[in-house]
Amino acid sequence: MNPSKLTVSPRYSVWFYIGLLLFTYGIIIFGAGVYQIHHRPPTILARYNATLWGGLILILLGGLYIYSFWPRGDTQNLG
Amino acid sequence: MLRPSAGYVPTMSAVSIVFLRLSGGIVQLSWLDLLIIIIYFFAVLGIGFLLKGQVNTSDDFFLAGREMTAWVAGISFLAANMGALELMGWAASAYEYGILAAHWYWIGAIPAMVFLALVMMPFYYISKTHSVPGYLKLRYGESTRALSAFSFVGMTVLMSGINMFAMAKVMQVVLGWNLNFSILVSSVTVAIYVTLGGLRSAIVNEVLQFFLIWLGALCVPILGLVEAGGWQGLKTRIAENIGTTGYLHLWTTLGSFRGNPMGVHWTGIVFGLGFVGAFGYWTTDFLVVQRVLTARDLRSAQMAPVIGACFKLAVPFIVILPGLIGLAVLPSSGLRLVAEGTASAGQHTYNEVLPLLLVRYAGPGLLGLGITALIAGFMSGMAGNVSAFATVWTYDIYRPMLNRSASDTHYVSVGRWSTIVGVLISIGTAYLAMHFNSIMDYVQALFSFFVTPLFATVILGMIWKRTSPAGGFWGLLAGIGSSIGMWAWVHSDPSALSKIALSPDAQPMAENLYRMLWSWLIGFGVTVVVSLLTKPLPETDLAGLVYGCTKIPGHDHYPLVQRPAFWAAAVICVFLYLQWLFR
Repeated sequence: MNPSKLTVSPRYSVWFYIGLLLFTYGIIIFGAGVYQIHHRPPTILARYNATLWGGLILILLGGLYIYSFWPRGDTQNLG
Repeated sequence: MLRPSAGYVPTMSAVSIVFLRLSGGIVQLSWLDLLIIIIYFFAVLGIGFLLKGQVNTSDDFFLAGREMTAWVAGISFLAANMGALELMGWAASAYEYGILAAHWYWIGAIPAMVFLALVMMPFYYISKTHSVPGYLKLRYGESTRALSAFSFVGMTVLMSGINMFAMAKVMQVVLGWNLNFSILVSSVTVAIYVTLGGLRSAIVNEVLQFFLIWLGALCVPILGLVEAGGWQGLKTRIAENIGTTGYLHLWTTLGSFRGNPMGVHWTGIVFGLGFVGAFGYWTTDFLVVQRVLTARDLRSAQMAPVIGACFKLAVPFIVILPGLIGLAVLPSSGLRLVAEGTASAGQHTYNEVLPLLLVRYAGPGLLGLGITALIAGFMSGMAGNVSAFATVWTYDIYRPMLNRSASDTHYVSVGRWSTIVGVLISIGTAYLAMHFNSIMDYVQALFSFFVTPLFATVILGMIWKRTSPAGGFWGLLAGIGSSIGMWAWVHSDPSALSKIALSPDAQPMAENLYRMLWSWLIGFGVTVVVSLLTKPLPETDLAGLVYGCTKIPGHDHYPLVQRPAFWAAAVICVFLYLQWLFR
């Protein structure tokens, strides 16, 4: 089996790519969440800062995938 | 009611998204939300361009090189089904019918997925078929393959177009976007990334879309439960709002047609939905089976549906629970949703329950992710249809009937062109649906005509050596014919419903369930009788296709936790526990 076939590009795994997107979303949404601490949106339960926590979860999840599937030149982390 | 994606799903209050009330957009997106949506489109297109260089052979284009891991194939297997209208359609169903809608996720999926993994997958995989019609060719011959292939490609592009139109309509209703703009952007995007990267691109995008669907939809059930006061609070509120606790029971209300809001009986759910409907869809519909065929080995191919089943068990959390939350919390805001076609000015319909909850809980940023989840769901379903269409058209119609001896490169080229043509036909269907409301109901009905009888043909071919080519063909034809006949009977004489569903109290929901059951039995019976009267294939021709003639590799050399059967048993245990928990 050619491990590169399981990747999005010859070096990057599917999961790495997904991690990158989730991380990017996380940064944007977390930033919005920080802003919304002092400018609450007109939503129910806005006091729970769902945007902030949602962004944080995306950053952690995306970061985990980026770290786990960072291209290291082996065949184990290509997804 | 929005029509969820699964082909076996009954029409409920029909596919009539066309009846969605035009409210001029119930969601106002900020620039941040739009940025998230735009990033999503760039990401899916980027995957297509990145994968273009990896598609060199027809196996690469149509079967993703058969090198996907169990996780990728399993997630893709589920994501292809989660596509069209799944989130909004079933959330609306849960609002209308309560937790009974979860049957379509549990008994209507889990046993069938496990059956595919443990019983049927070895034959699909060992026979090295490219498609389900391809298996029928090997088992029964060209005529059965042709019948199956033509019906599949016809239904697939029609479904793709219907889904495309539905998505555009939802975007118009929810966001106020122009219908033509939505159709153009979504179809061009899907066409580009599937044409460039083939099934590999569709699968990678489906995995991405799967994550986005989950993460985008997750805030609604979590915050909804917080607002409702947890599960107990939710139950109390629903009981207060509806006046009954029947909306929260999976089984105890199914003793009679009158005892539940769906108007179905448990026999319809168990045999019509859980057996023939679900098994027909999950084991023979090439749209989903194709994803599993991309697995890199038999163990992965068997693990993939089990992994899909694990996630399927959890999907009601983001689909059914929001519908229940809507029942619990929206009345406190003065919102009582109504059926399609009955909404007056200022009223919202069942279909809008999920967008209404998104707006209720999600601020800028999170709202964009939620809307992206809806778009991702629609696009993964559309891409699934188009890639399956391209494969069956090229392998099962073009190559055997029009050009048998072309080069592999030529077939890849045909696959790419057929993807584009498939998208163009889908666009045409989308506009057709716009002008002819009833076409949606007919297409849904047509889809169910072909899937259930096919299961009888395929399963008999796999487990019974005596099944003959003539038996397979005539059984399939009889199943399809009887299904169409029953549908026409009820449509010309609505009182016939009581005869098909065996009760004068049966509601339209019951019609499809019992029609599927009867058509399967007829297809099964005709296949058996004709097979007994005609000559079967010699056993030497059945190697790799039928039980008893095929050596199926075992997984005994793997540790227990790496065996598909172990995880299949675990999934079934969780499934049974959930049935008991919500009984």
